[in-house]
Amino acid sequence: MVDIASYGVYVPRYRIKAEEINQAWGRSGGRGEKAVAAPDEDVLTMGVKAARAALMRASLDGAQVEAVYFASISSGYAENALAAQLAGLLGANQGVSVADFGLSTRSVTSALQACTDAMEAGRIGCGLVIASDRLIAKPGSDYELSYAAGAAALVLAKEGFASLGGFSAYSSGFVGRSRAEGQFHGTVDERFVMQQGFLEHISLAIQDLTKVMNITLDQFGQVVLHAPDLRWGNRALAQIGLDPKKHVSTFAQIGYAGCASFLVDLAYALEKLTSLRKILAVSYGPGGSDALALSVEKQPSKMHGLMTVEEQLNQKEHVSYSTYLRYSRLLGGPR
Amino acid sequence: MIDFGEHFSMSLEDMIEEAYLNAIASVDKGLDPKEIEAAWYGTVYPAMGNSGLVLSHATGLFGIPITRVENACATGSDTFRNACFSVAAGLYNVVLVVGAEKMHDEPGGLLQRADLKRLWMGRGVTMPAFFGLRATAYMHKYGITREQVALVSVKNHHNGSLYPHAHLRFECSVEDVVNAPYVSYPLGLYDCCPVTDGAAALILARADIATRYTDNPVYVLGSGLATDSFVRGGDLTNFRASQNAAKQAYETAGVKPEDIDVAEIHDCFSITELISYEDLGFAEPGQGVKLLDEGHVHLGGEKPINPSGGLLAKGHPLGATGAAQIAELYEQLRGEAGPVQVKNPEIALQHNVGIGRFATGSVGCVHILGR
Amino acid sequence: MTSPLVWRISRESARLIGYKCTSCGWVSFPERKRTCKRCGAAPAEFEELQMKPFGKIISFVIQHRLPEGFQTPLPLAVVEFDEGARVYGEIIDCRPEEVQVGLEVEADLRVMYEENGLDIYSYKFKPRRGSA
Repeated sequence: MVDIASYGVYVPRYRIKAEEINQAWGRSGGRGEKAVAAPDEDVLTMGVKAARAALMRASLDGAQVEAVYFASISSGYAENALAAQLAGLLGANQGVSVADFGLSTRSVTSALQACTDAMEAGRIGCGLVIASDRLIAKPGSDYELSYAAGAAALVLAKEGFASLGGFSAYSSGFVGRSRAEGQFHGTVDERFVMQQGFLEHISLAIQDLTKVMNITLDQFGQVVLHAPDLRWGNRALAQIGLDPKKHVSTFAQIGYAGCASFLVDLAYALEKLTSLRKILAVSYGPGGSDALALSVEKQPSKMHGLMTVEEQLNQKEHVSYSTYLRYSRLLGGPR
Repeated sequence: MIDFGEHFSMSLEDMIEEAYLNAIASVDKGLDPKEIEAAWYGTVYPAMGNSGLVLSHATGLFGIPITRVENACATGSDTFRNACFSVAAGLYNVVLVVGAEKMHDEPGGLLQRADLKRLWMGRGVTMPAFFGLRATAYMHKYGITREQVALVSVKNHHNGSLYPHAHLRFECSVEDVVNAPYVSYPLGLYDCCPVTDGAAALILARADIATRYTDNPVYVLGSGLATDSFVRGGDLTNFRASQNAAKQAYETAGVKPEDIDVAEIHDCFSITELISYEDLGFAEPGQGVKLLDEGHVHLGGEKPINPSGGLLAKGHPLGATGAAQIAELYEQLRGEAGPVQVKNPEIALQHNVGIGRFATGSVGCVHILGR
Repeated sequence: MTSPLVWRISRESARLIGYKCTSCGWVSFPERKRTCKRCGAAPAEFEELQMKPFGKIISFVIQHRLPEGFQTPLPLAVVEFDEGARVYGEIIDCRPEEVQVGLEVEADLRVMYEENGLDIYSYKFKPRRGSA
């Protein structure tokens, strides 16, 4: 059995409202806001904080972790070892299994799957999956309204409060949004990507999962959808026939933080849980989609001294567009 | 010494040469350069390429021992101290001390010099920050205001306006000081010494033969030097390095703080002078401002401090500073200090306190001189 | 980390590991020492100490003049960890007016500078805020 033993989330302190971004570009209106990292934060500093929170909730020492798997699409490095650096910062033993996942936001579930596999193979007894992203969109682009920063982590162990019940992958050669090294996301036909990419892939992944597990959608009490856009998520709910009340999303509050968004929303779902139920969580990124089913068996522990996801969503400081631009470090400048 | 200031037209060696020639010319009964048996050269920057050889090239003194000394802002006084040892030990009859610093060949000077990479240590800590941290702690502990600290700047700028060798020769008010732009809060621009080029030279002779050169010699009565670090503990309202150096100097000289008639002390920042009153035993902890309020330390007061304008007005060319202070006290004790002459002083005190080792350590140096 | 300067103290620095002198209790951080800076014991015996990321501000300045690479105004403090070790630290996530002597702070991992395109990490300090 592979269980989720703990979760941790890090949401940076700063926010910018969509309205403020629009105003800077001479547009009016705008809904929601997104999380902005400080100029001295990167995927590693945020990832460490999420991971430390997860370890603290599980009362675990870094030395007890046997795997550190890290997923990110925005580290900015072509060569580096972030999972190994994270393992060192967390105090893991040198024999720890480390792996860096990336290139698609879906890699967050690849990391989760890899950790699950290692546990099922009996190679490790306790693993840490960390996702962290700091997406920077081209100023003035539509993506600028949603691209955000954040991190989250899960501790997987033999005994936890939720079991990973089923896993289903759907892969195709479909890419959709993509980005060359050191460049911004290019403009694509968003309706095409939403329909032929996102909707198509998550539907098929979910379909496969329900078939394999012999389960119906109404048995899921909560749903996490890895949507890079609020409208995509809403369209998906309608198309799949899911009750919007079951949808757990932090998108309106913190925007879209790549790999991290999937785990942040999943952690938020675990935190908001009022009764024991099943959670459907579906990741998406270039290449395909993974669907997984969680069975919550116990209430996750509330830790004194640890900020809840809700508290992190609410503890915020709004910044102006010029401050946001400085924090993005698109113009260089000090950390 | 030479006039302190922005000497864009003079190289480091030009300044040393001028200070050296001035020192020789000031010997009452004359001195043949060939009588100089050894020399000590104090300078802080740069670490490499600025050895005793610079002094040789600047002065034409070759073939004799020349040693470079660096000890942060106490460099000038420690250079003097080491030269004193050689004479006191009976090794030499006559030796030369030169302190010099070229602060203006690099833009910005020390005001903005801070390490980016010394994590936990000097990262982001400029000289104004190091002393500003003392100011915050001192003001917090004793309930002292920026206006009270500013009294040091006002006094020293007044003195500097009178002193011919000073870099800044203007007066300023308490309002000027507290309204100046911040450099490192709570320190503003007028709480800080300027970025100054300078050099000073001293000629030391064995006490028993000093009268061959002058009928009016000044004697070195005591000396002390000590180091410290805030990482060892304690609050940040004093410099134990200064306290220990002063203790050593008073003990070797056999005098007490109240015996001091005039002093040139380290006022790289306004707060430094205030704290140093207490470290040197002139005031009880937290009571330094009283000396300023009562005019005790002003020109014409009972114990004038920094009649030259101090580092705040005269300038602070690191390696030159201590040597220049001793040159100024030499003039004071001989009654030659002109517009800033103190009335008939007999015992004088010189003091430096510096920072080093990525802003984690401090060094204090104190000398006591007498007629 | 690409430089020996950072690498030498990386374990202590990253995980806040200090060394406590068994004769006087002084804590060395992040340097591993064999002599004690407080009592002067040589050799001194040190015990490894896992510090917590908490401390308080002993004194501070607000830096207005700094070279390129620093954002100003920058609150800069001498921070004393609860275990006694003293360090310099930048104060973040608060307005300069909030910084004061005695303020309780928490060490927060941040990017300090870049070297050869790599982010170099260490800790800054943020006010210790209560959490439910």
